[in-house]
Amino acid sequence: MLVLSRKIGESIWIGDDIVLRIADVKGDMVRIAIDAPKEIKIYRGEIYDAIIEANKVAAMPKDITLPKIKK
Amino acid sequence: MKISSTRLGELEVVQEQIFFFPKGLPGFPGERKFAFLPEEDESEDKPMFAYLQSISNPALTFILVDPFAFFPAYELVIDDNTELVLGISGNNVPMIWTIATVKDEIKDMTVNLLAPLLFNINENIAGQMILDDSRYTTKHKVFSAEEVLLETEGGEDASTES
Repeated sequence: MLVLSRKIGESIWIGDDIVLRIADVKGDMVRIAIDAPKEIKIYRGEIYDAIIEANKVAAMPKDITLPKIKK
Repeated sequence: MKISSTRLGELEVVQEQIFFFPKGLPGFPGERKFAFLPEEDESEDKPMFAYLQSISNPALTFILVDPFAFFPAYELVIDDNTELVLGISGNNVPMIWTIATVKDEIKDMTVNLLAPLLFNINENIAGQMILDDSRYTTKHKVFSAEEVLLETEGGEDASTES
């Protein structure tokens, strides 16, 4: 894990294809510009964390019988 | 082949039912192989429920729901990366399922419409895709108040009135 500090305008390369640039800082909000190939998916952390959490909760189903639905 | 499931018991599965998840699942990155087990229901053509059973971990079973059976307006955009990783395209349309969460009672079941599972049924590759769509969340209630849950009720669906 790499931890580092950047000033506004400075950037970070991840591999050869991804660049993060600190665009602006206002109070506790940091605006970041990300240049990445379109094949790379970029997610806000809370979204990805929510999916992990949802999967973990879903992975422990109680002993249930699936319903027969009349449609 | 035979696989063990804590919830479903000993199962006999065929190769066609086994899917390789190249990236596992978020939260379960090491889980790469699952058996897909649709619910058999003689009255329906297309199953609305299925199980996803980890091949290596008998205790890991997901309940899957066909999202279109309960959310006919559900739509999703499959991004390029997902198409590439899963080998899907307009010529190889994936099967789409969503993971259900059941906490206490079936009637409160919710599904994750924000991150559906896509199955390439021609090459048996699958994965979970996180949608970029603020309409959806990880917890959509499946059953509305009007839905009828039946265990063994007789048929209004097989009307034989003359």
